[in-house]
Amino acid sequence: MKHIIFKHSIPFVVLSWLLISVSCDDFIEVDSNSVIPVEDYKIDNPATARNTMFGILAQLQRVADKYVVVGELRGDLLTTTENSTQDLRDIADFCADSLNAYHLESELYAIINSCNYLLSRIDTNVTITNNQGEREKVLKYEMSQAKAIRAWCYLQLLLDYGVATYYTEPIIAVDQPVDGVERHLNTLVPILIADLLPLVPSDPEIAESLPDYGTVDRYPSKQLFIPVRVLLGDLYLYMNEYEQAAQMYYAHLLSNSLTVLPRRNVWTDNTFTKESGNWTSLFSEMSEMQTVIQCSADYIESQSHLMDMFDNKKDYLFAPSAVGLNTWESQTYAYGTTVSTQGDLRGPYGTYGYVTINKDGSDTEIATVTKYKNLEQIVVLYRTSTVYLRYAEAINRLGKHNMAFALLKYGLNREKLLVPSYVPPTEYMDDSGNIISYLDFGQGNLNYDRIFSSNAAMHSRGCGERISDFRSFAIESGMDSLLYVENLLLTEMALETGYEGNRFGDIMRIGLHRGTPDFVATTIARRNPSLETLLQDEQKWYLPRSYSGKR
Amino acid sequence: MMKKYLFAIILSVSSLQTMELFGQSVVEGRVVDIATGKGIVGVSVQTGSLQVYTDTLGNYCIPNLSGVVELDFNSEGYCSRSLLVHVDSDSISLNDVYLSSIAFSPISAQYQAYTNTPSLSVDDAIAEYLAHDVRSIRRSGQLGMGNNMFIRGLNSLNTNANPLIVLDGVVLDELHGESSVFSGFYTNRLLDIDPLDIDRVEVMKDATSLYGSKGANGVILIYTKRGIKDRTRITLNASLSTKQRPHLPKVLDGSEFRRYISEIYQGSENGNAAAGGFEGVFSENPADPLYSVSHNATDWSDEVYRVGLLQRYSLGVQGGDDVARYNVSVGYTFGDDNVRNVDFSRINTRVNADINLTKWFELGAEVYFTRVERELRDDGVNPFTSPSYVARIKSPFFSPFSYTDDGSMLTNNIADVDALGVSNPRALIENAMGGYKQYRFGINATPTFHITKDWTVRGQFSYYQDKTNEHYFSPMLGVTPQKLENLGTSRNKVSVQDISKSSIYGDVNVGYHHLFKGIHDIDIHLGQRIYSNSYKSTYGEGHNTGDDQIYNLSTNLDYLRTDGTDVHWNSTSLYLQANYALYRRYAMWAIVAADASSRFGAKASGAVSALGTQWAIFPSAGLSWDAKGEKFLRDVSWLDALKVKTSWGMSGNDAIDAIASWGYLSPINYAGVATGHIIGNLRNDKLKWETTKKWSAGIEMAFLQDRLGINFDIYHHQTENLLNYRNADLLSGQSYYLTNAGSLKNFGYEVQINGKLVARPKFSWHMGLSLNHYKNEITSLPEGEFITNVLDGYVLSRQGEAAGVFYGYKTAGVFTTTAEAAAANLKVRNADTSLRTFAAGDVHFLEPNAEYADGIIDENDRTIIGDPNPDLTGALLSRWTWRHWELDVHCSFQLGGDMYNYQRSQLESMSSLHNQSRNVLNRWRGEGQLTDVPRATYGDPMGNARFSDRWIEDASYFKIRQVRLAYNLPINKPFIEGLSLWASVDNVFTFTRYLGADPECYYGNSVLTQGVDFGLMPSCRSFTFGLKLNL
Repeated sequence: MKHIIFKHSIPFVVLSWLLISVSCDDFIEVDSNSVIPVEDYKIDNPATARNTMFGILAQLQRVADKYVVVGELRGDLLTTTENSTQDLRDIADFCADSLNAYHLESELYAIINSCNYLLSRIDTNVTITNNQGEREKVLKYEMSQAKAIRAWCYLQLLLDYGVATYYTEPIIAVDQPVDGVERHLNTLVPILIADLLPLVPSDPEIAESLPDYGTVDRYPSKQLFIPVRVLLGDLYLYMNEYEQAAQMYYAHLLSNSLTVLPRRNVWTDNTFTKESGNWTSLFSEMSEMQTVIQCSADYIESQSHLMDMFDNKKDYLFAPSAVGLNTWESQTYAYGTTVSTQGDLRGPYGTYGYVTINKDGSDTEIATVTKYKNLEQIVVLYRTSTVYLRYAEAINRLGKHNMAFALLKYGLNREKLLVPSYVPPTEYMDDSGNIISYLDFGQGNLNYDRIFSSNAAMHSRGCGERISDFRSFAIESGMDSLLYVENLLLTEMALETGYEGNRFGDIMRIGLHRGTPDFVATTIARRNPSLETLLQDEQKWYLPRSYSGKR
Repeated sequence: MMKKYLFAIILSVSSLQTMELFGQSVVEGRVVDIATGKGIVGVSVQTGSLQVYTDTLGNYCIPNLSGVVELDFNSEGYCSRSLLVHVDSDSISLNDVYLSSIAFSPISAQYQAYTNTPSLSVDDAIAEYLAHDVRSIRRSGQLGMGNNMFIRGLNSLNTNANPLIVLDGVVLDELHGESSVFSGFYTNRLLDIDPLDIDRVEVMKDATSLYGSKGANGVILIYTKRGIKDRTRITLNASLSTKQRPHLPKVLDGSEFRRYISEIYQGSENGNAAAGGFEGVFSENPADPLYSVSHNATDWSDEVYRVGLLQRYSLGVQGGDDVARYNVSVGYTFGDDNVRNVDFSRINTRVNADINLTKWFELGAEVYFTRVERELRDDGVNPFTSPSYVARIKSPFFSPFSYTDDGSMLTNNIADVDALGVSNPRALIENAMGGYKQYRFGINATPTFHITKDWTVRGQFSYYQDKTNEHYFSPMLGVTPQKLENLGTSRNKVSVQDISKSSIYGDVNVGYHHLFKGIHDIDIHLGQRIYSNSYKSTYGEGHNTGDDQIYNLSTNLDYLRTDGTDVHWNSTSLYLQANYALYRRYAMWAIVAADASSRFGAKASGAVSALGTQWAIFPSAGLSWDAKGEKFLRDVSWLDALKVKTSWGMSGNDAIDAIASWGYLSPINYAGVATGHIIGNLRNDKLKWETTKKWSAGIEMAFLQDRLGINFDIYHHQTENLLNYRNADLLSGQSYYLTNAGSLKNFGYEVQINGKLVARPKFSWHMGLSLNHYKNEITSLPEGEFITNVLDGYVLSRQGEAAGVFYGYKTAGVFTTTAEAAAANLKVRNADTSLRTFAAGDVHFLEPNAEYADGIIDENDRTIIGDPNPDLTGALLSRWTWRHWELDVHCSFQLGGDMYNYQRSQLESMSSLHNQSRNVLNRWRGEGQLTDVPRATYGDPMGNARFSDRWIEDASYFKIRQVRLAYNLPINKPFIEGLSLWASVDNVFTFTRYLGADPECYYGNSVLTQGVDFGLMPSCRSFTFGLKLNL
């Protein structure tokens, strides 16, 4: 009997063992040391937050070149060359299709999704003791920057595609429903503003804090992030809310003590035979470069190819358009008070250049954009000059035409602003005679004079006149001052920041101020007259949604 | 008396199993040598646990049988046979059973005893002997590169379609998705098994659901040799092979090439673009210092190729007794391949033992180790670093060595890149470095418990580790700098890759086997397998070390790229296999496997949720009828076997990237100074295996005392839930995700004919022929068709078409005259959108798609121009024996099936300063010239060399793969049991109209790259002399 039990039970014992010995769910759950499951990740300490933020910065590198290509090629200053691919021509001609190689929609959403992921995982209540011995909520800076970068991406989507789907929950699974709504500029920008506004100090003297990781490669980490005030300034500006925009830009300039530095290109004699200059040294000036996307030549994923694309001799893909060249060449350079010549020296010495190439056996002179030789492996999102120019754009719209003009001709400092013939005091004073806070460059608060006293005239950087109030440059009488100064500012944006990726946005923003698509159409049609009719239709300004499949 | 004697011969009823004697009948018969007609002594006749041996006259007698029994006849040196017997009277006298005197079963689903062979890996044996079951295509002629194998069509589209390899019961992951740092190279994991260690190979085609989600592509079971009872056998094998240099299509000689480039330089409209810095090439003034540099006559293939030489030694010892059996083998193979400095060595050892520890407990144990070491160079069409290709395109008028500055003396310094910008093959041969190592170490333990007579528990526990280390360095001197896309210039390059994988495999099953009343034979197995893998790889690449003396990776190199993986994957399978046979004539089997795998998504549809995870279920069942056993056929003497069978089943393909179903964060490098995390993949809970439903039916027949055997099978496979990449939601920022969508089917037949044409005492002639046809069709692609770029060409995946069809331009010859070109008035669009018209001497491209017949040749004019799937493949084997001589001839063939001759498309493009094949001498040069080769134009602005039917060729061939002659010395000494001397010629001759070097080649191992000739090393003719000594 015993034997029989033995005989028959063993197979079943073994069977049972088979079924239970391997706890299947544990066995099937595996891990990996090379990747981290999204579900497992908690951002609850500075190191993790930093790593996630570096992921976002690395993703920004991927849009850097396209940001410039799409931003400039749809503008008026840049044109394609015989080497350009059809995709580039299509962008320049506003007829890109959904398969164009320069779409950046997916990359922008990837950054947005990463920001959403960071925001959904970050624990902003984590505190550490700072240098002052106080407990500080350290992760709030990454939180705030993730929101800023997300908003910047949305703004790019609006500028490049005219429409964007706003969602805030990270997408981590293929079948995850996305609670997002397609929005246009008018409906999305207010949401972005509301999201960002609580992040900035209300006192304009207090600088906002950005994540500080020390120097990363070549730049202090602060310059890799987007100042929320500047971004808010942009968002307000696109909404034609000029006062809020001016306040935001001003607060950024004031709290960071930013000035228009007197870096110039000059003719060194009055016969215009010798020139020298240090305007391009601005590009390496830490206080000038507010936000850059820092690329790196050494790593395939981190590279910017703009230098090759713009300036690879006969293989160059882009060239300055005739309008672009004319923008610099038609400026008047003043040497002293009596002698002048044509041309803004920022053009040929720092922005573009002429080279001779051998083409089909004969030498041809071509103009190429040389700016990216100076901007070594970086793409500039914000310079101090950009902020000043946009500030001027805002206050000009607020009726402060002379003060806006003063940025270009005199420099925004107490000494120049207090000359009534330059700027009538009524422009910066309110009805009760007080200096309007966001217009005070030392006229009222002498502390501010110390900050802004060195503020130089921006136009003098390429058009001479060391004393900065040269005769050749004035608000023409008999014209609408607002539009006149606005045109000058748009020109100055080209002269100063041309080919940095802003151009289409600048034109579009000013078009929005003027409330008619006509301005955009005519400005861009200067490059290619056939575009004028096309661009009367606002929908044509944008690239088509890049993807024809899902969504 | 006689009966008593016979009883005594029933010696060998296994001591492990008690005899069950409840029948009363006696079966008698005789076993006869088919050649001599005489009885054979000592043939084992076995049924179940009963075993007897034939006496000196070949007679046997088995008592106490009842019901239906299957007698297995086995004798060393003879083909095995089996016979069904219906024990329906007390005494049965059977017809004579004929055995073939040679252990040679030309083509069968099982291949045994691999001996006297120059093959380095088992792939070749499979290609030759199992051609009926496996379509096997050599990847290249480089030593040990192995074959891509497909069983019954192509059962996948985007993922692995090669069969599962099971080695000694252990699933072997061949890691087909792995890439190498060497161009044109492939890590062949089957090389870790020395073919001389192999006992037998079996192919499983229709019961593959036993292997559940791994069996959809069929299963190849490889068994290595084990110990033998009662005697010790020592086998020493030694062989020496020489491998001839490859026969390659000829290229232009120096003067022809000079005319060619001067034509390109001066004549064509883009010629100026070609000008620049090589005026010396045209200098005809001997005083010019550059004159001597460009007036040599170098046969570059001499610089690159040599006669290969391979030596091979192995020693095997098999032995044992009733308690323990063992097998020990050691092998060493080393030699030079055809490309200079490319070499190969392998050390392999395998030790196993089977021990009967107690009456009811046996233990098998095994340890093995293999190390393969190679020196490699890039292969295939790589104009920078592949010495074999560079030798084709390098101008013959340059020298491998440099001249002094005044051109007066040839130095022994290696010349740098020539004036035409082409690398120096000699520099690549001598100064490049290509270290490659491949290791496998493994241990196996296989305990077996005989619980009772009927119940058995078997276990299999294995651990094995695979490693590969690769280091590649291409030097600066003599190598054309490469412009890296979107990066700067690479002057030299270092790349390293280390891969390490360790696996734990376990299989425990409980078996029950019982024969009820001699009629109902029931055999049931229930088991569980587990398979746990850990895989790590690291890759590093850097450029511009600044000095060819520095050839290691370091952080200060340019364009650094690093990558790495560290993943695990586990799977487990519960399986139940049941066989039932009634009267041994009517058999049915059923298998069901339930697989769980870490590769599957957590919510995979079609899976059953149990035990805390998801299980994929794979059922199958089959029926067979042995008609010969029926009364009405039992006495038909000319018919020896007639068996009909059919089966239906499902099995799966789990070749999914280990973490493809996960949502995960990937590391990303930020400017080389920081590592960030980004979302690297979206979670796909529904990701699952591909499912292949298989139906097949077959008939096996044998006639005339087994002199003629015919097998015929037809099958239909339907694969569903194909693994495909699909575009991800735009908002996620991801490009793709892996998912299941689409289906394809394969329909085909297999014919196998074996004949013993002559079977005389001194002379015999056996032949075998196998024919194999499949038709493959993509039946659905929910995401629509897609095009895969393969080497400047396109492969289309489209519903209703076969997998892998070529999608390109159709041509109608070359425009002979300007008038003819003008009449066609075709144009291409330049990059600047202007149009350019085809002229005389250009290729006449057609516009087959009516809706795009706009006179502009662009990608809308592409159409299907070829199908790489063959109409028929097969093998023809023949063996003659005469006295002690044996002569084998093995042939294989393919009918139909197109090949994209990529190398020819490069060597006849006539668009660059690279040397070209001699066919370009027929190029169009003047008005009215009738030719099919277009004019030479620098840069090929018209795209004459684009992917068109010009490069698609019929790859039909008939190949004499091997002719082998062996002489078995008639030795009968106490210390030498046998000595055989043999010689073989491999890759003897190929009859084909294919213009490339070898119509049998495969680029990569993907289904979508079949029929693409990357110009890899062809299979070269080789001569081997060997001896085998048995002690």
